[in-house]
This record gives sequence, C-alpha cells and structure tokens, in this order.
Amino acid sequence: MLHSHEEVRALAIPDRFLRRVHTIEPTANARAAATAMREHGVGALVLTDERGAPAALVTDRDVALTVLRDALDPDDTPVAECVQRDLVTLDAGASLADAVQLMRRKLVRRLPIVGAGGELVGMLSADDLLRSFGEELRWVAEAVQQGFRNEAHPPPTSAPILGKE
Amino acid sequence: MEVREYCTSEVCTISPKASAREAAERMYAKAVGALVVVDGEGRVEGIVTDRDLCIRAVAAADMGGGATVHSVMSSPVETVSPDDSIDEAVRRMRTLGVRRMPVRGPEGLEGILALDDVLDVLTRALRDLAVETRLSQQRSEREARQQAVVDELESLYEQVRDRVRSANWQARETFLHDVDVVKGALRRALGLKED
Repeated sequence: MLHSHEEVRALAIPDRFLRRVHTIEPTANARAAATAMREHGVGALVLTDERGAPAALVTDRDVALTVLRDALDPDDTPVAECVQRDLVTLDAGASLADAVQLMRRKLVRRLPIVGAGGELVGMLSADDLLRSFGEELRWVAEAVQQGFRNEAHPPPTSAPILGKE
Repeated sequence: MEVREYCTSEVCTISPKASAREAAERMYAKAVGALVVVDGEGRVEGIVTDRDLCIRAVAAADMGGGATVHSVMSSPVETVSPDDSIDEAVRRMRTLGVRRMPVRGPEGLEGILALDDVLDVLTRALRDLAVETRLSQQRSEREARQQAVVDELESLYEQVRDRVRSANWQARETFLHDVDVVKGALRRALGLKED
C-alpha cells in the first residue's frame, strides 16, 4: 500500500520509539526522586496517583533547582513540590506528526504515552525521534549517493544487447 | 566546517568554590543547563550540569545546598578548539557521551559547543536545501508547461496561416496581421522573448 506524503507521518507511533517510563508517588521525597533518576539513568519521572494514572512529570533539573534554590531539605520535600509544568501526554494511537507538533506547541522534550484506559504505556522523547529521523535521512543520503555512482558507472544489465547474439 | 561556526560565545561560568545552591541559582537565572567551572585565573577546571546537581547534590546523603561546585562537577572536562573540525568534535561528544564541550582558544575559554546548537544549524541548512530543491523543481515544471503551450500555439498558427494563404490577398493580410499581434501578446504574457 502506497502512502501519501501526509499519511506516512500520520502512521501510529511504532513500539520501538517508546521508552520505559519510570514513575514515583507524589508524596515521595525529593531525595528519593533524585536517587531514582540516578539509578535508572533517566532525566524524568512521572508522578502517578493511587490508580496509577499519570498526574505530573518532573525532571532532574526541576528537582535540583527547586530544592537547591530554596534551600529545602530533600528528605522533607515531597517531589510534587518540584513539579514545574502541567502534564502533557499523548495518546498511544497518535502519530509521529502529532507527537512532534505537541512537543513544539507545549515546549516539552518528553511525552508520556497513555493507552485507551488512561494508563501509562511508555515515554516518547525528542531525542528518540531525532535518532530515528537521523537514520532515515542517512539512508536517503546513501541512496542518493548510490544513484550518482550508478549514473557514472551503470551496473551491467541482464538484457541482451541488440545486434549481439 | 569548524567548531567556531556552531558554538556560542555566551558561555556561563562559575567558580569551583561556589556552592551548589549558587550554581542552581545561576542556571535558573541564565536559563542554561550547564556552567563551565573556571578558577580564579580563568582556567577551565570542569563542567557542572543541572543533572549533576540532581544526582550528586540532592541524591547523596551527605551533601546538599552547602556542597561546593568542586564536589559535584565533572572534572577533567574535554574541551575543543574553535578551529577543530565539527565532525571530529561531534564524534568525540558521541564517544564521551556528552552533549556539551567548552571551547578553548589561545586566550582561554571562548565559548561552549552544544549538540543542540549543532543540530539547529544543520537542520536549518537542510530545510533551506529542501525548500530550494522543491522550488527549482516547480520552476522546471512551470517552464516545461509554458513551452508546451507555446509549441501548440505555434503549430495552430501555422495551420491557420496555410489555410488563409488560399483566401484573397486583402483578407489574408489583415488576418495574418491580427494573428501576429495575438502571438506577440501571448509571448509577452508568458515572459518569452519576441520572435
């Protein structure tokens, strides 16, 4: 099936783009959040409510600047206090184009992805999109380059040359 | 392409003796994610990022706002020269797993190279290239269509002229003159040179 220009970017987000999302309770303290981000090697955590639904997103920067600037005790400060922005999520059925547009409009680099029941199914980051687009671009560039080479030195064809039997 | 075309000279610095709290304040005020750590003589000692503040200052049990930049920074830090090739610089960033490198010139710290800025420059160039490619494609298509119209008109003109030749000479001259006028007008409308 051939897709039009617009349709290709409208296909739903493939699984390979989705990272595992790490969560934390809003009442956990800032130190626990910082430790979790260090241990999991991530830059953000999603705060979830009792039902496990996403309520907010907090980044390493949010935690560091909130705690240090106001000289808060990291053991006594709930991570919810470090949240700096409203939560922006994306539906699992959305397209890559939707994701990019949402990141641009809301000025975020990460989008928690939610399923039909509102449950967290993964995280999409601008870095992942970049890596993927970058790969596609390299393939296109290589195809163009190969095209140049073929024009200069056409590969032999299997078609019989007229006049020669 | 050299580093100097991709780096920014607006680099924020901090002393190794400053507190983590001061570092946080500066990162907030300047809206940056990293500060290059320079000593009293302007020598680059290291780099400290907002992530360092989080995982080293906040997470650690015995640290906090009182911790110094020296105790949470990454040191030594790889630097790059403004004349280095951008390919090499990006490759090094990839090998080291870093997104930023201080740029060091003959007189010391000159700026900072950030992967995001490299990306910005490259994507703009790519977008301009794509736009120009599409425009030139559209121009070729338009010219081809215009030429097809002109070819058809010239063919019609010749058919008409041949038929008119068989009519009486007065009617013929008037008619041929009218046709030439129309043809000239059409060529001008299409932006083509006069015959």
